[in-house]
Amino acid sequence: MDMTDISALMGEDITAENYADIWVALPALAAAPLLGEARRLADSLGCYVHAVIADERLSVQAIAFGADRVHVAVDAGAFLAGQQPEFVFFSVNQNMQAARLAQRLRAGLITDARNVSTSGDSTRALLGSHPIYGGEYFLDFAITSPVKVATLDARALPEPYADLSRSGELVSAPDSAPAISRRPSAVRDLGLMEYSPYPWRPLTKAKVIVSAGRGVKDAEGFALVKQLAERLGAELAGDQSARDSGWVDEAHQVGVTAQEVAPDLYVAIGIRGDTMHNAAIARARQVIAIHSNPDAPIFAVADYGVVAAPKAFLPKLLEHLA
Amino acid sequence: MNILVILRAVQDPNGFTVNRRAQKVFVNREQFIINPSDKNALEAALSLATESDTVVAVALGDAPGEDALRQARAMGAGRALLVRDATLQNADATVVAAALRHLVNHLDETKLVLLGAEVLDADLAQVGPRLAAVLDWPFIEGAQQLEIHGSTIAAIAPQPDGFHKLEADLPAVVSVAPDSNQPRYAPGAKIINVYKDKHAVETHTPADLQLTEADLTPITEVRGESFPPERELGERLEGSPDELARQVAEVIRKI
Repeated sequence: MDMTDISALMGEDITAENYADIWVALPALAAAPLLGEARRLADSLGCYVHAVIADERLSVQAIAFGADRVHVAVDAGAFLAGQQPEFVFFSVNQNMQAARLAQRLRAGLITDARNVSTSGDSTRALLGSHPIYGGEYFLDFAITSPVKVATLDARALPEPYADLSRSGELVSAPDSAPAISRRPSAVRDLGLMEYSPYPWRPLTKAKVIVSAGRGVKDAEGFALVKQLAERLGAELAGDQSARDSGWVDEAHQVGVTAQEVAPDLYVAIGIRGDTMHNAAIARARQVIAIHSNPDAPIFAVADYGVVAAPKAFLPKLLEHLA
Repeated sequence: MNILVILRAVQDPNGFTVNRRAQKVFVNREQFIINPSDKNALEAALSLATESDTVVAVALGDAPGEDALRQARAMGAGRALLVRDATLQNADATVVAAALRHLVNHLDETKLVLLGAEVLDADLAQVGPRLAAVLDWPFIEGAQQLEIHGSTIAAIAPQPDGFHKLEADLPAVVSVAPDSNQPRYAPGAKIINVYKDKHAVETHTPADLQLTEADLTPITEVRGESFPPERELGERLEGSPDELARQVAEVIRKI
């Protein structure tokens, strides 16, 4: 590799003046909230919003959601490397493309950015918060490079306002978008694999846990809980009473004296919720509780509570999840 | 050939508590651990290495990084390299990628760079793709199972529709998924030995690696910390059984 290659890879001498507007990679309509966010920032900065879409048929919606110009490109990252964006937004599942583009344009990048805004002053820095320690708290970043890239989680943003009377322009993209890598096919996809990760993973590290208690009544009820766990790809667990009934072993018992858990989602089914159990799920991100007794202590720690008999309720829930 | 593993020392989450109401992080014990998925990367490297390979553990920063490297040596890494510079511990992704590029060029004969797919305490998961871009090496993200066949590496990695088997030519950069393997324990005697051995960790300064002023200039800065809202009392869902089931299904789908 000679020096010109390196300087090309490290980005050319980039000065702020040439870089303008907010560019949004929009691979599918699910990312439309990014456009709403871009529109909001563009209105405060007084600049245009460009959408880079993979499918020309999305152009009408992209304009309605706030794009002033729409470009069609299969590989948004490669296309944007040939443009001069000031701000670029990707979806949070495109971190890799975003990082590659950021490196190419000597840009700073905030992945999974929350509360995105720009500094009011002349530096036009991009501000955003990035969750650390699994969302325990956030670091507030400011990007000061001429080009600024962020990836945003569309699910955490409000639905954008669609104005069908907005006007915008579909720009036909040049075919010769320069590839970011000169070896684009360097990673070969050998196809889908039958593979289930983490067969040995302890309950304490599970991301989703479905947990049963005495309220599921009998083996038949527990079978329904098991079905739900399989449907959600969740770890199956239980409280003390489930262990007493022989449904789970100690490694799958949730409780201060057994396993303390910290999943993203904890579904407590027929668990009354004694102190030992509720303390052990204190670090769960979201708790859904289903119990027939409206006064069960589990409802005090649940984000969503459903008063219903588990055996009657679970078949309905499985139906709706199908 | 060298297999490089990039390690980062992060503050042990058991050593601090986050108080959302006070909007503050209370540090009880200043202690560091190896970033958990970096440890999985180290384990992957140790099990991939053949007799002709050397596993080289690499860290940036000062004392915490050096500790991480000693642990790596005790676990079985053949060499440990520290780029000693206090500012590098909290450097941004462009600076880290630049430092690692210089290091890879300095070492030559590197066939694989492994790092963790998640970084607990900073926005540095982007270092992998950035490093791959500056080296113009292929990059595989979130690898679960790694195999080397001759001059190619194969990995199982998540794609939008499920797990795929991916293959790339070496040299390559691969980020290893957290919990994708069980990192081995370091034998106690080895831990004692690496702490006694003055030469267990080789140190470089940024100047040794020809890092320029431009390489070390950050373009992102941390301006502070913010906190998610305090946990609120949950809501009781109401409605007919069918309606309830629909609402719960919706909540589950959102996560």
